[in-house]
This record gives sequence, C-alpha cells and structure tokens, in this order.
Amino acid sequence: MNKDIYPFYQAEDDFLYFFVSSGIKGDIQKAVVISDVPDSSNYPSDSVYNLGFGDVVAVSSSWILDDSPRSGNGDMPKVIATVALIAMDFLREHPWALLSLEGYVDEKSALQGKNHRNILYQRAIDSNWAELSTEFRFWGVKSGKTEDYIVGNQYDRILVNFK
Amino acid sequence: MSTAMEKQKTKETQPSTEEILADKERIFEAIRNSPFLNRKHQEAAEYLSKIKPPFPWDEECPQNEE
Repeated sequence: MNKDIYPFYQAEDDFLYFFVSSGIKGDIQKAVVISDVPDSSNYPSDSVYNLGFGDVVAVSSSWILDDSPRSGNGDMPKVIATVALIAMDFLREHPWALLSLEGYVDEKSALQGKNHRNILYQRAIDSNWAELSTEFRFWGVKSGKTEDYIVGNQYDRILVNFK
Repeated sequence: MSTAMEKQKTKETQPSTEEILADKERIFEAIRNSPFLNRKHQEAAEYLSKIKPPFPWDEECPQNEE
C-alpha cells in the first residue's frame, strides 16, 4: 500500500511495535502487539496470531495498552495504514501464519450494531484490494461463518495470510 | 457508560516518545501484560476455536519443525 505511514519501532525478538501518531491533539503513542493464539483442536501451535492495537497510557505508575477507539487526532487513515503495514511485514516474515484482526467495539458502536475499527480496517483493505489480494489471502467471519473475503461485506473478524 | 467513565478516571497520561524509548523494555513488558490485551487474545482464542478454519492445516508446516 503506497500510503502515508508513521515510522515504527519493533521490540527486539518480539512482535511488539510502537509508533507515534501526530495530529490535532498532539503526539499519541500507539502500539501494536501480535500474539500467538494458544493452539486448539482447530489449529496447530504457532500458526494463528491475533493483532492487538491501542494507545500506550500511563496508569498507576505503569503503562498499559488502551484500546481507546477514538483518539480524535485527525489522522486515522495514516494510523490504520501504519497498522496495516506492520501486519503485512509480519505476514511476509511469517508466511505460514494466519493473522486475526478484530476491532474494538465501544458502547456507541455496539448500540449501532457496528464495529468502527473493523470498518476502518475493511475500508483500508477494500480500497487497496487490487494490490493486497495479489499478495495476501483474506477471509471474513460473520456470525461464526468463515468465507472468502468479499469487498464491501461487513465482518466480525478478518483473517489474513500470505499467499 | 459507567465503564467508559471508570476508564476515563483511571487514565492518567501518555508517556512521551523519549520516555518510551529510554525505558522501552520495561514499558514494552508492561504493554504485553495489559489486561485489555490479555482479554482480547483470550477472546480471539475462544472465537477462533469455534469457527471452521479457512483452509486445512498442514501438520508438517515449516514452523512446527523448528
């Protein structure tokens, strides 16, 4: 994706990435953590990973990743493009991995029956589909049913791997 | 609503970029142990265990041979 993105740092020997969103509210520290999902009867170990993303905030003399969905920093396309690039880099380095993405559902989204971060992820996927679909395979999960990703459909969870 | 209010109350500040980079290992470790993150990964594990995998897994896939 030839998009404007933020430079990011990766923790050594780990799938933890950090970048700074600079927008109308100033600098907001963001982190992406990709963790392997415990193996189950459905998946062998070290095959499925989940992507977590949020703001880094200080709480009670420590730090946490806060899945605050609305930073309001006016740069969401750039933030989502950065997260997407991190995910693509991870999948290129781990071509056997299946990556799972799910957005945060806040109260407003839940009341509307929507997952706004998923919508943003999907908007990024859909608008770059011609390019992304040549390198990656996508699936969408809706109401527990997995299907090949269809541009324009809305999903509860998105799965992607390297072709 | 109450959850959002409690969340707002507990949120203090954001560390600066310099602070994160100067103390990155400790901050990264704290991030890894974030309750939200553990909850999201647990939810993902439960969700994915209930759905049909999108393709059959090759048990001899290379990462399992390492």
